[in-house]
Amino acid sequence: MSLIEIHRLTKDYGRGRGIFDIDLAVEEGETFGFVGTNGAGKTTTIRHLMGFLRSHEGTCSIQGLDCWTQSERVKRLVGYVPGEIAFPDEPTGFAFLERQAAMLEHVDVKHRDYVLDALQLDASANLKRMSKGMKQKTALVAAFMHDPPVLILDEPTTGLDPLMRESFIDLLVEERRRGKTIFMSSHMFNELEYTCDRVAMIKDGSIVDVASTTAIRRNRRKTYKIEFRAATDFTRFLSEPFQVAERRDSTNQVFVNVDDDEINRLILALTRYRIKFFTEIKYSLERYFNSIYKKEADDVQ
Amino acid sequence: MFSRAIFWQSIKGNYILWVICTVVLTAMLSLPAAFHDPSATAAFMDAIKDTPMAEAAGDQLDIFSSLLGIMSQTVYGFSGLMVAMVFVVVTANTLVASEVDRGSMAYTLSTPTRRRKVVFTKAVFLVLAILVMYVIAGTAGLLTVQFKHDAVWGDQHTADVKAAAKVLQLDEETVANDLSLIVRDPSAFSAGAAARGVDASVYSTYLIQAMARDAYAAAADVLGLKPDEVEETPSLIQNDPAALEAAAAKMGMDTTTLSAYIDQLTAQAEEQEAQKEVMQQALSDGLTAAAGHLKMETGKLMQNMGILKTDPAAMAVASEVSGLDEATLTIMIDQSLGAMEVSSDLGVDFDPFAFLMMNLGCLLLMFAISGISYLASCIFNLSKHSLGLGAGLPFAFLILYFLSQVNTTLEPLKYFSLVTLFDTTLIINRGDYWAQFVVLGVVGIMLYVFAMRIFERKDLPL
Repeated sequence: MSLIEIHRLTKDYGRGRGIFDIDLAVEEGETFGFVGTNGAGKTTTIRHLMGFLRSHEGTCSIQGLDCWTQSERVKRLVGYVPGEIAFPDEPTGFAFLERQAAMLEHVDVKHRDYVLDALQLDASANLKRMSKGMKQKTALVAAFMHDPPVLILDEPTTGLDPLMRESFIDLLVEERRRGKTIFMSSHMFNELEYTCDRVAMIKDGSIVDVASTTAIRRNRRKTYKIEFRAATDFTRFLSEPFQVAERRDSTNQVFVNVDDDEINRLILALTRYRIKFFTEIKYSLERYFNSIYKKEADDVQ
Repeated sequence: MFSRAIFWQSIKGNYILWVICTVVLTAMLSLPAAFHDPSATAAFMDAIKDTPMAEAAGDQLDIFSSLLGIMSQTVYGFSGLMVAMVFVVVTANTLVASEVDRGSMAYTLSTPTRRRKVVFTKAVFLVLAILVMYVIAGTAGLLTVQFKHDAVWGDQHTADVKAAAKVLQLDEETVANDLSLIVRDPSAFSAGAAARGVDASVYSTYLIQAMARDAYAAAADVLGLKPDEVEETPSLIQNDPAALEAAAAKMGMDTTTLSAYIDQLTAQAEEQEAQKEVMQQALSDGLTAAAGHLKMETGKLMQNMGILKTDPAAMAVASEVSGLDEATLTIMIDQSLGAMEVSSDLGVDFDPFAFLMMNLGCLLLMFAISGISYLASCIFNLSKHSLGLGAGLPFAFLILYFLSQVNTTLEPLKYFSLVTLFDTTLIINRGDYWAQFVVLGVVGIMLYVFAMRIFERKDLPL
């Protein structure tokens, strides 16, 4: 059984809004990404996991505990960062963290300080005057400080500057190493690509696809972009036995799909041409999902 | 069910408004009690007693004259209810809806805390806050009344009774129960007059009237009637031996003497009734003229008629204009002053039980009102919607109730207001108000239970 199980989860807000028939399973120790545009249904799904919303149909559970009916026990396992930061009325970051600690069962101060240190947060600052980034960090500390086995993070990097994002990702990697199960949403592909084992894409309330980032990273079929100096070279190359994905006549560019086994053959062939440049187009999560989008769109047509 | 952490947070988040409202209510209750001058009020009441204004005011007149009556118009009336409602309405909204609206509820509910626990603890806070608010204000009011007027605990005795008891070497209770003891002892009499700050003739008129008052009350007690009814028809006393005995004890007479006295009173009554208006008019004319002579306002002189007795020139003017001789005038003045003294005894008459019930009733009303606000706070995810119902309805109730008091055309509006169930006049008059109290309590409990159930089951946008 998976640690987080979402089964046929549906919340229909009418007029096509909501989430429909969401099926997801996150294994223990896995870092799972959830990507989609604003309004796609990421937060709605997460709210079901936190027991804030009651589904119209379907269920979700964490470690076999139903997220609605056994919400209290579920939350013993979960650290949560809400998508929107709105702190209660507390004077300082520390006061807020202490308030949270009072309601959590056991908070190890050492671990809290470790998290504070990792995120370089000065929690003694006035809570209301904190910058967006500082607030986000405070919310992260509140979710991480009691060392829960499951972390549910709704767009955890909003407001963080690039350097802080790095520190945060380091922290996530460390937590994953320690065996945590992480479920995080984002609207940025690259962020999830390096941290997550698998990424689900949600669009208009439905899961489009679930992709394994390792599989994408280890993809053996690569795309190369080549530009030739002369149009004659360009047209001559098109008769070579390579799979051309795209050709741009105006700039003398071709995109070829080549298996790793065939790369030598391509390079050998290219020695016979005068080329301007030769570059690999990285196969990224974004490209992967875009291709799925395209395929879906084509299928519809 | 109960979370100390959440309770503590609720205190921290809401204490400022609570302190302000508690201070205001306490001041509203204690200050009028501290500066309440029963003899001034009595004098005023006496002055307007026979005017059309008093007739128009009707039962309401009593309300304005007693301390409890004044309280029922302030702390337990429009302004006091308004103050408490501001606290209730704002706090109920802050506790739940505003936290959901802002999103900070997410941090509470992301900890292993049941929604029921959250909403129950906050409800307990709200109810306790209202309770403690009224306990503080009520206790302060009660203490003020006790220290200033000595009118809460024990039978309070007037200054003259205390002074006379000292002279007579009797305890105050005995003297208060039998004022004739003062009449019979010249030194006790002069001590009493001095303590009361009136001259001998006024004091003796006062004592006679006070004894009659006590006699009517004692007889009424035996007969199971109101003192007013007995005073109206004194012959009722004669028909009941026990009543006659009780009344006689208060008058310091034996029953035969009293019975004869009552016969005399009844006979005089008709004759006096006919003369009364003429005499009053004459007195009034005389006083007006005397006031002109003394260069003071007529009203002021009416409140201090004693001045005439010390100013022969003014007395002469009054006598001339009124057509009454000075002796008659003096008697009328003494009667008036004596009556004022009697009413001033009434002024500090403070019914602690009615006061407690007034507080209980007000508390129950606020409990029910807070139920409405809390329910609204639990239903809506947006502060503006929560306040729309949770503040709108309570204030509408308050306004409807006070509109219904304005005149008879608007009176039916009272059926649309919860505030009607808190009937201060009924409480002061010791009427039957338990049904209303029960309704308020039940309504409150139902609203709170309903609020909690809704919050437990609803979708939260956190």
